[in-house]
Amino acid sequence: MGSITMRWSAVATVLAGSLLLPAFVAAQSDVGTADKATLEKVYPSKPGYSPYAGRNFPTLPLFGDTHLHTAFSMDAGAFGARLTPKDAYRFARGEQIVSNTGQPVKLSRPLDFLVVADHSDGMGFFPQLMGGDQELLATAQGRKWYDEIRGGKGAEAAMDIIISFGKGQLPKGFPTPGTTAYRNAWQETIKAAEAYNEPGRFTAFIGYEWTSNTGGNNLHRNVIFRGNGAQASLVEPFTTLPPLGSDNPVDLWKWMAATEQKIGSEVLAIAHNGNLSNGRMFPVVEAFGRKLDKEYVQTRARWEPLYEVTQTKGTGEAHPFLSPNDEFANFELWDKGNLDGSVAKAKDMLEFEYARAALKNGLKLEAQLGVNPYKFGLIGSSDAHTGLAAMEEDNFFGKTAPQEPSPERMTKAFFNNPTTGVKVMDWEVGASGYAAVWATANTREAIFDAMKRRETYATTGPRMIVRFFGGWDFAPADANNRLPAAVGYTKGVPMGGDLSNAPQGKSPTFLVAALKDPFGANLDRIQVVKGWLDKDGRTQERIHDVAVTGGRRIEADGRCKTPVGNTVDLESATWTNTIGGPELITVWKDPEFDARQRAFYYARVIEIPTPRWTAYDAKRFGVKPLPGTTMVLQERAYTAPIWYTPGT
Amino acid sequence: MKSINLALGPLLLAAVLAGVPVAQACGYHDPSSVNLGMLNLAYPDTLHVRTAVWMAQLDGVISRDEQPAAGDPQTATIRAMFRLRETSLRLGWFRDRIGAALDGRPVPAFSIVLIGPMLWTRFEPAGDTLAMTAHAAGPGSEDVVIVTDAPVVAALLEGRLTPQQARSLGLVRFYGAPQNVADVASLLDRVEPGGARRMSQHNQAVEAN
Repeated sequence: MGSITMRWSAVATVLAGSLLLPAFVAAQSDVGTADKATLEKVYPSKPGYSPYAGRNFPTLPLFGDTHLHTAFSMDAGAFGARLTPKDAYRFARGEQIVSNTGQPVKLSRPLDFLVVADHSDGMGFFPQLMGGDQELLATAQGRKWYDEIRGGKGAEAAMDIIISFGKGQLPKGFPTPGTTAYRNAWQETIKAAEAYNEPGRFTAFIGYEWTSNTGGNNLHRNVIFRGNGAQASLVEPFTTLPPLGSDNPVDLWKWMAATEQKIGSEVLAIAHNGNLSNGRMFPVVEAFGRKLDKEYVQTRARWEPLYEVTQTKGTGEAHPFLSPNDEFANFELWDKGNLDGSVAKAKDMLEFEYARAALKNGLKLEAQLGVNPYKFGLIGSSDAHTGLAAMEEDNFFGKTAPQEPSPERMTKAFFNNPTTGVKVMDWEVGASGYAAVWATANTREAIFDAMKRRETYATTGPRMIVRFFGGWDFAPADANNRLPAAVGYTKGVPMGGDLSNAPQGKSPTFLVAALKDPFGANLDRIQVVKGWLDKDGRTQERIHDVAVTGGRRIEADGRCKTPVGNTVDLESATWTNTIGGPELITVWKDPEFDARQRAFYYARVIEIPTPRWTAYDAKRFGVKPLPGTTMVLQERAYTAPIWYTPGT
Repeated sequence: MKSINLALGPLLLAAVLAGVPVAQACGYHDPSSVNLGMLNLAYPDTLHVRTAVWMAQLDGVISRDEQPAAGDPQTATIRAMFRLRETSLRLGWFRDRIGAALDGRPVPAFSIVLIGPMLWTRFEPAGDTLAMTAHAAGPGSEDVVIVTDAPVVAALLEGRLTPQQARSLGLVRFYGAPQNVADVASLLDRVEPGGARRMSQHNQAVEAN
């Protein structure tokens, strides 16, 4: 296999040290595809004594959340969230605050960036209504809702609001784009981001969530602005309710194009929860009644460089039905139905919901239409509706305010639809995830640009550090280098990049390195997942264990059959780092490369087993878990792929 | 008493079946969570009471329901019926105790909502006693609203907790016009401690059922 595994402590020092360096602004823009020619411009070929002098490639693995809701989101408000965008940013920056349920809460360490992404439809509605907005309360409908909520009939009011919204029968003063109320909510969102954005230390992005959900099928996207408050203030978010909005992603992309023109700055969109779209997130034939054509695939590729692959409502990398040979595919799945549980899941939907399948189908579409619409990098984020990006297993503050820590959340049903059989328990909500971005600086511009070039990875919560480079000339000795990034950028392209025109007789080689979260668990293994389009035009996939800890053996078929073990003690909700290892690095060469076939490769880094949040709750609250409750998990990271495209 | 909590489920389902596009979906809508959330909007920080209750239970200050979750809907319904009856009887005892503390000073109407079952109970002065409406639809428009939970009422009745202690532990929160809140709080503070014997008898009666 041409791979070696070794310890990596010096690299750890370098990587950790880079976190402590004062932030610097890139002398050159780092926008664009990370191809070799671009990288040669930013990395000097003849360094002096200091190996770090003149270095201009991304050295900062920044961790954040691109998908967090606050009380400004209608549903979060209905669930009782009272924390505002300002609270959310303060918390993400590392401050201790009081949660929606009155509990002091603080992250183990600050995040580096955050996007408050409140739903664009009805933004700010509940704070406006319950704050006694005069315009809204002057209407019979608004007054009725207000009185009902205060009078203990919150459920009835919620239902009436939902139905009125669905029918577009909204009272005067309801926050829709163009109204004063909507403007105020959007301005509050922008002001919060501006107030807490601190270049070099913490990035507060401006953003929102566009929430297409027709028929209960999730097609949501988070929209992120590269620019500042003055620029974002020139527009108002795109909504789903006609006539101002639309539930068709094509219309969102039109809005994004118009917005860039208007504000003179970039935006991007990140889709999520294909697992709740019932087969609609990654279409291959038609979308919204229109056959997929070149315009669709080009436009989608243009606006959606990333996909949120893991979050509280499930992890959507792979599914055991689609990947029966992947023993790690059965991880934090939500595969029972669509978003509102109105339609149960059918097996034939899965191919169009999961990231790996989309990456594979993207190759096929590229062969057909010339552009790959699913050429996305991977990130994780929370989708918490609490204002709290608290996704650590031992510090998990749930998805909604009533799901903040309490003895009840171990046994309560989140949703139960007896008609469709879709039932989800609170314990099935995942404490996941975060977005990791390799940026040149902790600024809006640098992080956004890293997202655009897909130099990102998803984690299910831990902040492990992962490097992944592809090229034609990586040699086993490169894994001995204590500066893998220097070698990686010199000889190849990073995660999210492209390889093409394979040199005669050469196979792609990959330099991959992972370092455990300093607060977290040891590593089990690194895998490289390959997908390709075979000579018959069929998609294929294969998983290779490329580096494993504990002296275990990788067999001739590229797999390590020996599990890493398990030290979790459920009674005390603890584990030990006596198995696995703190770091892994290797060079791996594709043993079955065919230069004529399109392919992608991404790395999956897996930790040793650790207690899930349910185990911490069981211990802390003395609650007996329901039968079937998942109590142990193996956290992981997924890098953005590197694509190979045959030359013309 | 669970009927209020469960009310939203069929409504949401009906909306979905009717083809109403529920665009504001973050995910799965648990009706009891919506009820609780809405209460938190109308009466800010009522969710803090819920936290205070489970913390006091873990600390042994008030009793904890050790009964495991019912495995089937029928058992759950039967248990809910018994709990409603038990709680209603306790609230009746509580009304009697509060009524005994009336001393001629004016007291505004007030409502108690137990946030576990989301059960509203109204109390209105009626001459020199208090009239009680159990399982009320909600508070009157001018009522002082008291947010607490069933185990707190039980602890107050059993003399394990004074109203002042309950307030200081965050187990009870008052909402309303400041003077009205002060009057109701003062009334509750005048409630004589004790009554454990009577509650014990009552509990035996409940258990016998």
